[in-house]
Amino acid sequence: MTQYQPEESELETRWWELDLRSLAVLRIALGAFVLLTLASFWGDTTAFFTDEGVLPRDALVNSPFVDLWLCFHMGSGGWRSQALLNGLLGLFALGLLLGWRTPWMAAGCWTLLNSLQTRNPFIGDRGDLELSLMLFWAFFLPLGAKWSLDAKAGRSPFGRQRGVAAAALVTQFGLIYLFAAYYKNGVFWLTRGDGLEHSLITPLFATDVSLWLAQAAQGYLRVGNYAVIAGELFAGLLLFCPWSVSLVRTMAVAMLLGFHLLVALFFQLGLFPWIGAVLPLALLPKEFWSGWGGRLEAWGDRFLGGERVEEPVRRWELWRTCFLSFSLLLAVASNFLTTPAGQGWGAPSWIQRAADALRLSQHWDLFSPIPPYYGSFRLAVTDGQGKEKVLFEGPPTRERPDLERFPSHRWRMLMIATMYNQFGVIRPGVVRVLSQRFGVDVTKQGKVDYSFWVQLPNEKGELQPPVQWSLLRRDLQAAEKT
Amino acid sequence: MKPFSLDLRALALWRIGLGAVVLLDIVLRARDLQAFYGDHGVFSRSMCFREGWQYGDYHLFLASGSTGGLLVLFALWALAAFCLMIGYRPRIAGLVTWYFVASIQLRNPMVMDGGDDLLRLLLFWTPFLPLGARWSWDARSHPEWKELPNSYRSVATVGVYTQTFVLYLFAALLKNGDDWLKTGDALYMALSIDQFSTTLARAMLGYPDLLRLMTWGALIWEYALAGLLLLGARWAWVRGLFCLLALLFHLSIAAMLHFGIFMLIAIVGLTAFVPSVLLDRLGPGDEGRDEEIERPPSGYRLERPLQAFAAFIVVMIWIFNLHSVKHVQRIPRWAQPVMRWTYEQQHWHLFAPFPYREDGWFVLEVQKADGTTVDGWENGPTLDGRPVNISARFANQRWRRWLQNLYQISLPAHDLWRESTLKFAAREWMRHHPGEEATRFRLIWMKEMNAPPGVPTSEVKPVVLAERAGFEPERKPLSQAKATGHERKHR
Repeated sequence: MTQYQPEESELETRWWELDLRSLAVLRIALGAFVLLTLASFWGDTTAFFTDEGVLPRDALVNSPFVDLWLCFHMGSGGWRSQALLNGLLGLFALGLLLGWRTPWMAAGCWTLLNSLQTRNPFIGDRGDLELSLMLFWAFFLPLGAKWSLDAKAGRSPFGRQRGVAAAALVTQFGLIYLFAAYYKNGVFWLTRGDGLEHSLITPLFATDVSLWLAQAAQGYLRVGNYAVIAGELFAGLLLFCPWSVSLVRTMAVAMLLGFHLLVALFFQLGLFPWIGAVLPLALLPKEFWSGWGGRLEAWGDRFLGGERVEEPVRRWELWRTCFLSFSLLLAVASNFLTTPAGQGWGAPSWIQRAADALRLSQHWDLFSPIPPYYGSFRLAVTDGQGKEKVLFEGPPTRERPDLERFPSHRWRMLMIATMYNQFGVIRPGVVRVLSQRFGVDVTKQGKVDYSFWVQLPNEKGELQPPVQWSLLRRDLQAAEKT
Repeated sequence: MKPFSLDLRALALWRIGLGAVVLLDIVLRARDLQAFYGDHGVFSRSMCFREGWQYGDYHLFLASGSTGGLLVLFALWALAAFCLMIGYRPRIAGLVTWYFVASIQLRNPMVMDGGDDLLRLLLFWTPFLPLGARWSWDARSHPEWKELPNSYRSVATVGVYTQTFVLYLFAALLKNGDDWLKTGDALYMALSIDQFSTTLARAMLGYPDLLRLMTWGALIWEYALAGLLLLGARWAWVRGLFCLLALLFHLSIAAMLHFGIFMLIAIVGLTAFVPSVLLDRLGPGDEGRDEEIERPPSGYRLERPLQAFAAFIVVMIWIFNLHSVKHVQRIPRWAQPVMRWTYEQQHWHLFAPFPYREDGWFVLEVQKADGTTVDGWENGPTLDGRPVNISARFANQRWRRWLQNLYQISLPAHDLWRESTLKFAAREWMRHHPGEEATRFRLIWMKEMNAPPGVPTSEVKPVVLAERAGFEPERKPLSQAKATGHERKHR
């Protein structure tokens, strides 16, 4: 076994440097989150990914949302192949978690995870996006140098802990929070300052705790609103700070951890807040591990093995650096190009296409500039005798706490997507499959009525009486053919 | 010589040839990437999904319909074929190459010919053989492999023998129509198919008596090739004779008929049987002495489950071929899963039981705004008259097979395929003729029925396969037609 000798260990952590122990935490977290992502689809494979589900392949390839990315999940319309591919993704994730042939496992996870997301782009959230982006950058980092089977076997890692790859990971985290803060503009978040209040009361995402908070701390919500913006901005800037890196970066990680734990407490967002809370641990500097984190390291060494491997002699270093620099520029450009200023800039279209091709296109308008709507869905069928039967009505609102919850977080994202006219292609499939969950074959029923009852705020931010947005109101067979 | 053994150097030649021919196939297919495999081509993914036109459980090439995505897949395929050719991990490379070949064939079976079948079936055996033992990248770091004897035998070599043997045997057995057995007009009829015939073939039509003799000669030749290969399994010099006669056979076919790379694939397939005595002349012999070296090449000592599987496939090859004799295309239910998972399905109906009579050429009739009509594929001013060289009107073998299948195969999706072909051809015409306005397009098959010697050929009968008043002048650029990445991913 080669004894690891850290280079220039006497120096303080530099901005373009990451610690191998923190990267091992990132590797374990990435593997675990991919497995949890697969678990979040559990039981809905047929509904989400097959030709019998909400989005048959024919509907997808004929929609504007067909992706240019290689989607291996399009190779079959049956659930067996989907389950097989997801099983393969699960194996890659397990390999990544254990640190076995780490670069290959990371590449496999990234490829198949994006394939999965491409098969049905309507069930994803920003957690999926963050996971995909981090897998991309992580491929170029020495994730398996510590606490891994690779380290036990003495296999050299693929990437380097300092340099462009490390800088890219730090930048990526910084971009998320800077642009999340940037997008919190407009009437709700900046002018009136009630963006947080509207976010806390929305039935689409709010938890019971957030509803309580919205009532109990009503007088402080405006302060909280601006504190969220300032916090996101501050955390983002801290990550870009090149001075006192160890202290500043540890503070930023702690802030992000706390922030995302609060988000998990207040909002039903699936894995997103947990991904946001855990993945930044990759930024913990070496000073953390030699100080407060020493016990954690000892614990890790005890259970996961204390071996480390040395970085190998580099080949293709120049090419790798050029590719990573180009990718980093694309990631930054992708964020700028989706801002109003960026859209008006008239940038060449190849930039966006290249970002799409590398799955680096990103947009962090989290609950902004308009917070989520206040309202609930209603799905009803009317039989031949004119009798209406309500199949689903939810999620619960303050006025109607008796309503049903979303079947799962993925269904929440899917149904929210149906609200938007540009995603109308999925409405017939969603209605058909959702009805099947309640034992009704709507293709044989008379008429179907799928709508969203929304309370829109007025100029003062006060919610108005509910109005109905009719999402699908016709014969379903005809709708799917259309 | 051990019966059914092959020379490791011959297997290396075979490996290099297969890798090279797959690379050539990739390049040739890539010319029509979007046309045959893309979402804007004649057989889009949407058509596959809508018509349920699917064979097998999983289709790799449905993963993308964009040019970029398909290019990535083609590049990965080429990488695998290159590794096979140079002998870098040839078993894995062979398996991956076979999978890509099978997948592209499943993606669009309408452009396939017998050569594709043969290539796939030969590649099937690559993971079972020690293809890297000689003349390979892997062998460079294993000088001890030179100690291995050149002669190699396993159940997989039996498989290669069997596959080649059934090719010639059943190609002969299935030629049981009157044209082959009674009148002897089969060769005349085959060479009369203008869609395939070369200049030499057309010249030979002037000698029907000679062609009658050659018909029976060809039949005997095929039977003889099967017999020689069987005897060659025991005697090396007979195998040498087999290689020579088979080479001449395939070269003569290539001189008379346009079959794409079919004959090249068949010739590459022969290299596995080149006898040792000939290989010794190619270079210094590596005749080994000790078979018991510690780490032989991968596949040299085939694991028992793989041996059993290979033996099972040998049996299945016979079953699939025996079923083809009865002209029953439907494989028994119990064998269908094997067929689906190994894609070992095969039948060698090459101009069998007799050459088909339907012939003719295809015309893209373009009616311009000024009322004139032109042949869009010839860019000529008129549609009158029979083309001199019909086989040259096809862009390549894949287009020949696609257009032939528009009338040869009867399936419910036929109308859709004809319509999509017309649409594709019309858009291509408009792309190449900017500024010209067309009011109507028609895809016409100028049908002609071939007749035996002495009987006049039937009159040409135009059959309109598809027609449409007009198409959008240009399809939208992809960047405009599709949602942007931002819209797609982030709502």
